[in-house]
Amino acid sequence: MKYYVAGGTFAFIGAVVILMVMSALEPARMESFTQSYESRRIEEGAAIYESSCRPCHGPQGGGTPLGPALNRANLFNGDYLNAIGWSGTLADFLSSTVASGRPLPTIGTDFPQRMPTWSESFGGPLRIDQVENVVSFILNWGERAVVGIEPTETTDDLMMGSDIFVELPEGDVAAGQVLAEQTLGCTACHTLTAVGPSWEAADGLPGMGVRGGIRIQQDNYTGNATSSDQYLIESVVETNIHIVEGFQPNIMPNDFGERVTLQDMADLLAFLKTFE
Amino acid sequence: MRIPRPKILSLPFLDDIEEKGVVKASTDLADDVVTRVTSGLNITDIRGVLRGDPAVRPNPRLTPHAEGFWLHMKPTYYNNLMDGLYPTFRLGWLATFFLVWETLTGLYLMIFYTPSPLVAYENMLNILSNVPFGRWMRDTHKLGGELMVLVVVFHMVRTYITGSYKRPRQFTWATGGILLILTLFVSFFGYLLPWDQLSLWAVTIGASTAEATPFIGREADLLMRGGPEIGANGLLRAYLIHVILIPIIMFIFLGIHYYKVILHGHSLPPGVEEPGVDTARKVPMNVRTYFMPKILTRELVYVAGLTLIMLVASAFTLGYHAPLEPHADNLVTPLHTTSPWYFLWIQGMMKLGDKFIFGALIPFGIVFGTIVAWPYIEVGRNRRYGKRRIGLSIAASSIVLAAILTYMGTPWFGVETSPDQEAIAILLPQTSPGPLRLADWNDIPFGTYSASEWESAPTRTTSKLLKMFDRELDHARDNPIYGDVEGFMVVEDWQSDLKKITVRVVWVDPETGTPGEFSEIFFFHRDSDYGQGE
Repeated sequence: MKYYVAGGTFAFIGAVVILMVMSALEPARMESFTQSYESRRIEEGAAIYESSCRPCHGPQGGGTPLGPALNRANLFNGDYLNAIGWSGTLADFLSSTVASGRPLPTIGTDFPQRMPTWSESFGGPLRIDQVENVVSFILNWGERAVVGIEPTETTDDLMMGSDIFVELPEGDVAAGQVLAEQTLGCTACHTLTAVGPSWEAADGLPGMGVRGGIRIQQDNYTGNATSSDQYLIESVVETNIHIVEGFQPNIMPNDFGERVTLQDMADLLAFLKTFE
Repeated sequence: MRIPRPKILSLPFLDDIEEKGVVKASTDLADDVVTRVTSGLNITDIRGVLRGDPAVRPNPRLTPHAEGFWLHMKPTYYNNLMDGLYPTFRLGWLATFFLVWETLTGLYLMIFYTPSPLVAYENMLNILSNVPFGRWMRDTHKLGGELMVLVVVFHMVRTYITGSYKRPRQFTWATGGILLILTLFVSFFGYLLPWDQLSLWAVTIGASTAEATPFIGREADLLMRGGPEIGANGLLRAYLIHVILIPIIMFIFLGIHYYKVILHGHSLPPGVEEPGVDTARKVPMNVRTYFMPKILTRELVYVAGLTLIMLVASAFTLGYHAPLEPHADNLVTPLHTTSPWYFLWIQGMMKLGDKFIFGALIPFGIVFGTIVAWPYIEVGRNRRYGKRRIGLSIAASSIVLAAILTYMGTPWFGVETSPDQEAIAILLPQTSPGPLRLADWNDIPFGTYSASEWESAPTRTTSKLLKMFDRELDHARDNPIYGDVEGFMVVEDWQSDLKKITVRVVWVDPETGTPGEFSEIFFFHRDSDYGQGE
């Protein structure tokens, strides 16, 4: 009996002591969770950006001919918001734009498409919390955007440049596929949508792997390629030298020569040649 | 001679002061109040109980049992054979403790919860990040719920082994069986409330068995989910079932269960009575242990001890924490998703064949029906172990079978998954944070690493991760439909404090020579810190 009472009293006092220790630690714990929760919003937002925003706004937010850059300094230093007369915060501006899109082009811009609505509230696919996550991700560019982006990737590989006659190393199809589908996002326009010519064989034309052979024979061909392979390389690095009928210049970025290495180009070429 | 004071106001206490003096009048008043509150024990009596003094005669400690509400539910005295740990292990009291524990912590959580898919998950994050004691309340509520299932099952197994369900306690057992089923279901519906992937898919798997009900399957399924898939209506229904419907029924059955225990007395250990005789109700004077002080003290010690254990279990970062997966998404089914552990045996059975037979008829009709009706089926009066070989063998084999079926319910049995996905899931599991998310952000430098060259990785963390990845890839290498399997981990600088980590498996189909690739991307922030208990 004595031991029971002693044990019970000890347990009770122990419980009270633990509660006191806990209440002392709670503020720090809550703060730490808040921070990690904000960080996870950025992670989630990055994943959504990768699948939904990247095709138009570029992999690192640098913009493409389809959509403006998001990592630019004037977005974060307030100049842009002043120019358009937005009175709320940048976060409000971003979440409103992501949620409800843009029905009209912004004055002074000339993008071929309007930003669609993304929030479920306006018929888009994203929940409200997902829109907020994307906003957190975009806001995370702020630091680097204001001080200017420093290139952090260093590579010993030679960049491709715009010489379509350069000798390429052995290409790897799988690596090329990754480049086309993920790293560079080519398929967003060339397979999934009809923004650029489809790589698949269609309308009496063969697949992109051999189509160059036909193109360079055409009378209206304005490029320098002398073979199907060179035509493909040219299409990647000199995008405006020859515009296929039915498409507009400047839609495809003209800077792939500075973005891909010789090896990348070889891989990409190997992958493209699988479309017959 | 005192002159009588003219009585304007009649206050007995003032009269008492006049008569006995302030001190005596006040202590008498306090004594009176305490006696009323405890339904019969005054301050001296309570002191006697706490000190363990022998009771005076007539015993005032019996009055609260006769006149009070709360102790009406407890026996006045126990047989000496029943006051220790054996044979009850106080499991019934433990189950009651958890019911009250769940009610109290649940009420606290209700304050910060709205049952709507728009905000339910945000509520969880708010509870974790902004509510004092929020994380602990959530953890202990979840842990208590799971322990309650265990305790109720153990209570039932104990009652079965000692044969205490036999006449005259058949109905006590039946109410206990119903309480077991209610415990399972209250816990099951609670699963949905956090509105994360774990909730949604555990409940979706469970709810899909409702569809197998004959004739009204589609209607039952619709009624429970509130639509073709679980959405706002389904969440609200699960919430109301969890916080109102089942708790009310549980408290009613708990009352009946307790009442029956008082009515029939605790059944004595099987060996001490003649077969077929039940003497528990009449306890001879010389073998009585009174509730007060001995049993009361032990029960209170249990409560204090369990409270301490439940606090220690989840109070700090090291300890049990309720999981919280990403936001519920009806379009994304996580790999390795399962129903709650106590329903895995049903999931295991459903892998055997027909959904109706193995998912509805056997578990809900036959198993639960048999449990509740068992004392009316097995009517032998003898409670001696030696005379119940068949009954005890059935129980033992049922437990073994349940264990086997539970194993069969896990993703490691009878589920075909591709080894490339499994290899990535070893680093980035979809139902828990996993080693990559838990790794130190600074220890994963930028670069491209191949799994088979884990030894040359720049940091120990990276090397450990790649080694795990490589080991898991061996399953793909052993598989004849994969050739030249290799795994890569590409770490890129993506944003301030944000790394993009691509985990990729590439292979070549040995027959056609076509390359295959599967990859997952994980964006890793410096401060996301997955290891703080959620």
